[in-house]
Amino acid sequence: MNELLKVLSLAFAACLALSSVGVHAQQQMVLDNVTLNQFLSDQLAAREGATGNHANNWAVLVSTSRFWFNYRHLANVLSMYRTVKRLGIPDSQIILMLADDVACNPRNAFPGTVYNNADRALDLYSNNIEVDYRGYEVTVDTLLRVLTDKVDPTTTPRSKRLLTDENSNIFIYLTGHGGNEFLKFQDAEEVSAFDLADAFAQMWETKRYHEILFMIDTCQANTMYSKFYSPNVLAVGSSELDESSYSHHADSDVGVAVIDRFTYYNLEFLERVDKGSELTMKDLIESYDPVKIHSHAGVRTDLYKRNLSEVRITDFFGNVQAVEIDEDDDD
Amino acid sequence: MILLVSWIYTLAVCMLAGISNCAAASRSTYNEHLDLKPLPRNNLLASFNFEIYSDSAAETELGNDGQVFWAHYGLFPRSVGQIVQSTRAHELHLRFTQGWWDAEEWGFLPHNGKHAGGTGVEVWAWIAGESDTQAESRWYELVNALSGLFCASLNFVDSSRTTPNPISFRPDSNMRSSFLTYPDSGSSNSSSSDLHLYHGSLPRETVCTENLTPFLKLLPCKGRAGISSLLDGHRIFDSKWQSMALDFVPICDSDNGCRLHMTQKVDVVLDVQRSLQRQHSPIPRPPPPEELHCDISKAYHSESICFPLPNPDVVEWKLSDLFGLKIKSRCQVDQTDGNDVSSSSVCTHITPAWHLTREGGTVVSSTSSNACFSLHESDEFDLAFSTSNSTSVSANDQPPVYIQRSMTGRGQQYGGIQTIIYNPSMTDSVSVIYLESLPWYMKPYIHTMVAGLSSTSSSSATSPSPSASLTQEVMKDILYRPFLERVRGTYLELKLEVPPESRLTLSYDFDKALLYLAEYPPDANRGFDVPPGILTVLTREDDGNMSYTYALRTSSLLLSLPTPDFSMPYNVIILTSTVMALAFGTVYNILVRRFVYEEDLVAQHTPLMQKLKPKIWERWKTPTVSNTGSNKEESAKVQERADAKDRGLKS
Repeated sequence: MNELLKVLSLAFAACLALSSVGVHAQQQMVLDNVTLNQFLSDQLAAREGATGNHANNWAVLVSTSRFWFNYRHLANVLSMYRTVKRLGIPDSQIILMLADDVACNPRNAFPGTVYNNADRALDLYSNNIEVDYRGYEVTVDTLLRVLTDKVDPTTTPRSKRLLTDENSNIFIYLTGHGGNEFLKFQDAEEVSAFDLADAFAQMWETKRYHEILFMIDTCQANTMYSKFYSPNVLAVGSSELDESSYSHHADSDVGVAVIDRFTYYNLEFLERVDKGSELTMKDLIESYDPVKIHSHAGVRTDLYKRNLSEVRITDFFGNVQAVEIDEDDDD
Repeated sequence: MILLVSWIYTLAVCMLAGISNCAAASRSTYNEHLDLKPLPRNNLLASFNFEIYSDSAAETELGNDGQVFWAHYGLFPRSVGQIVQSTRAHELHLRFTQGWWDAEEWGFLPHNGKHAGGTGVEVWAWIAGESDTQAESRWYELVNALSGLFCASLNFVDSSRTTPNPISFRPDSNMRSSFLTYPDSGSSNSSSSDLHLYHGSLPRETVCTENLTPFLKLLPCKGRAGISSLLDGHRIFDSKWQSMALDFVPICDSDNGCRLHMTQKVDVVLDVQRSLQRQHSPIPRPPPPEELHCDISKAYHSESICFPLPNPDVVEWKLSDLFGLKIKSRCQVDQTDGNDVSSSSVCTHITPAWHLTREGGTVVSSTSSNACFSLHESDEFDLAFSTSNSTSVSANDQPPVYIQRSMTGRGQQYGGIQTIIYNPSMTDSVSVIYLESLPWYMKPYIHTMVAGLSSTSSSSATSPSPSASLTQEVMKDILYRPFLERVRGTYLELKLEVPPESRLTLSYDFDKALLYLAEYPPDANRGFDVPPGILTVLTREDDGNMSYTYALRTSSLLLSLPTPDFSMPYNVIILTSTVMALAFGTVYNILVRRFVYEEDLVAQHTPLMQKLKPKIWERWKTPTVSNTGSNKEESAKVQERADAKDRGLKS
């Protein structure tokens, strides 16, 4: 009896050890650079015309934080919403997800208004705003379903679906509280970097994007894009592993911080961009100054085959497509 | 028959006039109207009304295969029309409300409460369907489509938040003549038995600019011109009470044929002083000492001590001050033949103490208590109000009934609801229907419901004394359907009759449920919202029928359920400690635990005296070993016995 028990306990311990090793081994598979490059080139070769130009632009803007003291995350997202609208992306091609309502919050001293600067010069919640997912609807499940379009087509209205095709460039912006390879949704659940990577892989398989610009402003944001393995994804994060992202400044009448540093400096650059601008992503990346941002913003370009100095800002933030002008005089 | 004749007549006229695109007997029209009424304590009730009629359609145009998909929208918004038709809804009512209507100060709700909802979002519709399940699935399609159109989380209206067929609502259109026929409805005119009423409400829903934007986009001028240009989210959501209502009702009459009709209303109670202050500084700040109005009747009034009067009597303000801008031009809509099919007007309900100054527009009618203006297409319109006695407001009839509801009890297991319905009338009793839909995690005990009646007249003042006969007198009918956990909530509708000048107190107990972890919302410690109760007042008409004359709602309630401790460190510590305890315990047992036989254990553990006793006894009993010969046998026997004993112990 004694011996039997000893054998059983040893077997149990051995099982535990093996399973943990096995999991680790699986993680290793994706990170091996040689196999990754091979995988990518296979994928790209399979998709004809993958390096061609895009035909339409979409944006998915998500704020994952609830509660009044996370005002700045909603201001971040609304600033990006205003920017992409200004540069031409229509509301029908923007999915805006706000996890809480701050504009009509009883705590807001300025009803119906959201500011991203203490000078209160710009009201982000103007009279033409369309929020697709709000409040309790903003969950991990909803985000992943929107990205992969695994929604019930009979009940989900078109304004709440991401109806992209293989010629769509998508700008995905996430902000909130995060950590090492996770992003927290509404203080209740998390989405992990693996989930996002798999969602992008599904999008690639179902030909739902041409190129993705993934921007994330949270603590330890760069870890969120470390697990991507689908082609044509350009990722920008606000801070490295074990680094926090900070807020920029607070408004004493609103009572809370109104904007985050990384987004603030992004907006400073983007305010110089208009629809005809020729500024490139390389200019944007080079404008990041760790001294000002107080964290090291990172970029992931190994999945993205185009040279950043050839990629215009308006390829992702605006709704600008290449137009061929017919020079022929005859009709 | 009449329709056929009118169609033939119209066709004849059209052929004579040579107009090719002439099919409608009546044109699509648009009316907008603004009512302004000062309320006590420097408040202002502003009621915006927008009405859109679609083109009318003749019978024969409605498709050969009986399929009707309305094509003659005209000014009617296609987005609403298509949603309503694809889900077979015959009538749709949608309400977005925030704030609290102070019935004691402000009296009747605007439009007799027909167009005001309860806190949050409320929606109800009559849906055609051959069976309950078919109609219900169409209801869910409808609320999902509306959630996309109005940017509200209406998709959360599921079976646990839907009340089917409450009697508190009556259709506005004459159902028998409803011309919206659908391919699968069988008969050409849907009879009322095919129609199912569903009501859903979301008390937790916020109402903000993203709900106002699509609301305005349904109008022909899209909120850019006319009266709708005054609707600015910054002002509307800075009010004491606001309600946005949308009603879709198809109408058939002999003059105009059959048309789709939609009314949109925005009712706002603005605090005039607060809105005026926003013009000067965006943040409310206390007024400087020289602008303070002091109560000089106070004994301690002096230069340095001031008891401020909250509401100045002498006020002067303009519409552009309150709403931030003047009405630039009216919303003019011309049809293709050049006829103007729109109208816009502004009316005020004041007393002679008020003085109006108009800029732009023309006077339509003007009496001491009611002045109406119509707007021009090119000028700006503004209206200035001034008075030296702002407490003089137009008389407000006392509403027929007041209601108030609150939660009683304490703790996380039980609670109670108390509703007080007060009839202020001195002569008439009032018949009401009170609808309460409780969520499934509130489990009421209807057998604990008691009604207490107390008279408020000055002659007698009795305290509420519940009794069985009283309950029967007052409670005329109860419609009740108990809850099903996680499927549907409690449906309770009471028909009550409250005698004149009395206060009826209804109370009952309920249990609180413990939810599954995934059912708690992210901010669970705030509590859960209970939808408002809906009170509908019935009046007996001359022909003996009861008509619904007034509707009001209680406030929503906040229910605190037992919530677990969601804190991550606590959970991590508990789990880790459990795993460590199990692991340690197992390993310790394996290392330390030994299995021994029971006899060995007994031998080990017998005390010293017990061990020595048999040996002493043995010695005493057996003879000494030093004897010869004959004792050898005995000693051998003793030895044998001793051996046997040893063997017995050890085996």
